[in-house]
Amino acid sequence: MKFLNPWGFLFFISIPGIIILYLLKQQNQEMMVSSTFLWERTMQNLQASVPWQRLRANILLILQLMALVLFSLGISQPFLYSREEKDDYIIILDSSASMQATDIKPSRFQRAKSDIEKLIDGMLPHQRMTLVEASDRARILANQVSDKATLKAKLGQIKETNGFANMVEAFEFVRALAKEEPNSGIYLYSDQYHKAGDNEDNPYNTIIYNDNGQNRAVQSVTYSYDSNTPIILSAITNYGSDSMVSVECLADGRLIDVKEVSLSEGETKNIYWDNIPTKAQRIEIHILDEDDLMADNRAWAILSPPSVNRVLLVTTRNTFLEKAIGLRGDLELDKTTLDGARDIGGYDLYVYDGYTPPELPEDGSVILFNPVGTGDILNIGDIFNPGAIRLNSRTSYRDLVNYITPEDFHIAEARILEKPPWAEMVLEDEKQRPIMMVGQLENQRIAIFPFEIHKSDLPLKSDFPILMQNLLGWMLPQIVDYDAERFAGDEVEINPFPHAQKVTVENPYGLTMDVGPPFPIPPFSETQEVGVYKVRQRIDEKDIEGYFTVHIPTLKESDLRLIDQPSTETKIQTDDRLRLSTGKSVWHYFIWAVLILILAEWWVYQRGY
Amino acid sequence: MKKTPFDQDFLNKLNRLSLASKMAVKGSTGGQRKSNLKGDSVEFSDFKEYTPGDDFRRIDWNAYARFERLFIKLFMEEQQSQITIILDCSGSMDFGDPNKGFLAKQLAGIFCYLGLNTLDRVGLLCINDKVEDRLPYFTGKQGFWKALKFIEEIPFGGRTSLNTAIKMCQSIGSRGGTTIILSDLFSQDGYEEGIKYLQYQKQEISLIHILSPEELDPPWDGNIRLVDKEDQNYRDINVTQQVMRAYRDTLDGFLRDVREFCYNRGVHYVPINSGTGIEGIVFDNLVKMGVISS
Repeated sequence: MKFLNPWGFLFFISIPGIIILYLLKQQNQEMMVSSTFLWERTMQNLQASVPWQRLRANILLILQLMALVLFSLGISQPFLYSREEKDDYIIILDSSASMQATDIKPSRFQRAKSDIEKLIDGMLPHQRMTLVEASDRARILANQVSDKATLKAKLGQIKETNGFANMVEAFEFVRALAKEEPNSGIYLYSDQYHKAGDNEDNPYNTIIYNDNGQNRAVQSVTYSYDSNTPIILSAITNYGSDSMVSVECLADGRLIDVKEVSLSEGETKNIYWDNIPTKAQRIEIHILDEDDLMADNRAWAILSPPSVNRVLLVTTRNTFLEKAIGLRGDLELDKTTLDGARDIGGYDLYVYDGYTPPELPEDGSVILFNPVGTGDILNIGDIFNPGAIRLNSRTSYRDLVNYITPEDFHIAEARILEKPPWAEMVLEDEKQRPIMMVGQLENQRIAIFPFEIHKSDLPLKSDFPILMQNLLGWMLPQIVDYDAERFAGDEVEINPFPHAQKVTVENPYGLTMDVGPPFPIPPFSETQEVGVYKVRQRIDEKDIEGYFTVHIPTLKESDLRLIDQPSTETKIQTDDRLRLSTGKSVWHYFIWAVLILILAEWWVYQRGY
Repeated sequence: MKKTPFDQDFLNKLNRLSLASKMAVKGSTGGQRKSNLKGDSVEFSDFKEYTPGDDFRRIDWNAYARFERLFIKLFMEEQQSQITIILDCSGSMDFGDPNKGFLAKQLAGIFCYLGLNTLDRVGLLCINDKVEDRLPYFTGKQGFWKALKFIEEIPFGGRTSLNTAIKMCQSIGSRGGTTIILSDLFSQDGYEEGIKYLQYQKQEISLIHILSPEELDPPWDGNIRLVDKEDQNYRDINVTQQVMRAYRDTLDGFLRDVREFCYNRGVHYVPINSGTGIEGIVFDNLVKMGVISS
């Protein structure tokens, strides 16, 4: 037996107090009697001459002393232990989607949390605990903490997620922590065995919460168009025993069809859905039957939204540019001469060829080819003859020159440009003079090429259209890539229009979050909920919306069945008894005994023994 | 208004009572008690041959006719008896509800009345650890009211030492008589030697042992401080059932010792609970115990 609160033994100090109270004569009620003649004969052992009386075997005294001893033991919080103690515990709690499964009631995750809470309750004062949450990113919530309230509060912060468990990262943390305290007891609370923690130096216990739950999941939802009519392809996988499931398809919330699918164990079936309205945007596939993990019973797809970017090309004549820009189908390209370029607005991208506007347009991105003349935005110098062209190794815009070989370019002449503070050199010549500069001025993206295309061999090479498409992709991004496959916890890149004033994201539960300004917007990471997210950018009192979907990583999380335990050589141990042996608190038995003793004392007192 | 121990109705009832006396006593004046002395009462006792100097008026001429010798008739002489009432007036007697001292005064008055009613000489002695006060012997019913006044004015106080105090009662004399002791017997030096002394003085003794209900069955519980009324000393006692049982055992032993002593010494012993009504005590306890004959 151990005591969580040995300070409770201080109450033993009060035992002499009780004895003294019995030794000390009480303040008695005074009664006048005719004579103490008979009383003296009766009470020969009761002498009043000294303040102390002989301590007699008094049943009340014995009961009170017993009650006090039991009370002291009780508030010392005795615990019964049946396992070897560790001074430090490192607890890894798997909070991945599969831990939501209800094959263990109320859920695997809740049961694991409850067991950890019991472990916390059973900690001795000198013991410390480190709490590590293993979700898509591992997090250390408490590091070598002894305070139970803090640990419980931190434990309470851990919620089950819809993502996967990044056990590799979690065990990296654990190894680092275990180096500091080599004798730490490492306990993984999960629904599967994990090899990530396989390390001879740090054997650990896995407490498994798995009752081989039954689960069916929507594996994927994709689409294609047949004569402008969307056709949906969904894949349903059975991670349980043979069963028949009902699957429904909804388009923008309207039921399109329900299909019965027979699935044998482990089988994946593709289901096609037609009769989808042409203008439908949001498709949802839903398995109607309940199983042990409901979070993967739904999946969504966003059909490509009609989006047209407007581009203005200001040039005397440049067929190469015109062709390269026109390769992108979702653009509406307008051309104008230098004279007509003044005071024009309303475009998403302005491409100036051989012309420098006195000031930058307010509402779009800008590409400058061969800037000439004078302007506030650039200091343009003399013409020079560039040497060999190369990639600036320090640039952060390396993606813009993907699949391009700068060394193959040859430029006859270019203008010397002073690099503005907001810009970076992407391509340079051997004397580090700029050949391609890119930068972002507030929310406006700008690219500058200080040479005339016709005086280079660039347009003759296949690299040119690639470069232009890379550039257009950066200059005219979709606000969000609606088609990308994203899992809960993934970061989502949001690319608003340069003239967007405000950007918000609404999660599947209708919670709206402001993400910009400031611009540029950092990657959006509040993607723990699965479903359809709506990105809304406000431009001139008008909202432009985009969507993206977040799913459960079904390949990692939907199979609830317990994978066989690895061989014993892996040093992964399981100790199912751990769940029951976290220490049994027995203090309340002592307090009950105290209450019974007090009742007994009252009874004895009433009876006058 | 202070209660008076006596009223007329009660006194009327006393007229039919008289003190019982097994013992013939000597006295100097005539009374209503039989004496061993041959006197001139009407009750025949014996014959005696005439000798010169005898009262020749008592010669039985009928006997002379038959036996031709002179005989004189002897008759029982009725003499006065001496009744001494010893009242314990120590502080312990002024206790209880009903008060022991009050009852003792009533009984003293009753015995005084009865004694006077039988033409006996009655005297009163108030003792604690000494003779505190005394009413000299007197006769005649006219002295009764004086006696009552004396009794009523007896104060209670002082410690009880019966042996010492009784031995100081020189006025009792040695000519015999009846002594009635009214006490709770809570005497520091005992009572036995005093009674032996009185018997040595040829006294027929009645011991009226008065205890209050509180002494016979104390109503207290818990931690109490018992303060002695006589000397103000105190004893702290945790009164539990166990203690109460011990007290009752002590009390029973005390009463048993007194009773056995009295029985062995031929003393009338009457234990009285002051809670019992005076009429019940007189007409029941005292008559049954032979102290009073109706």
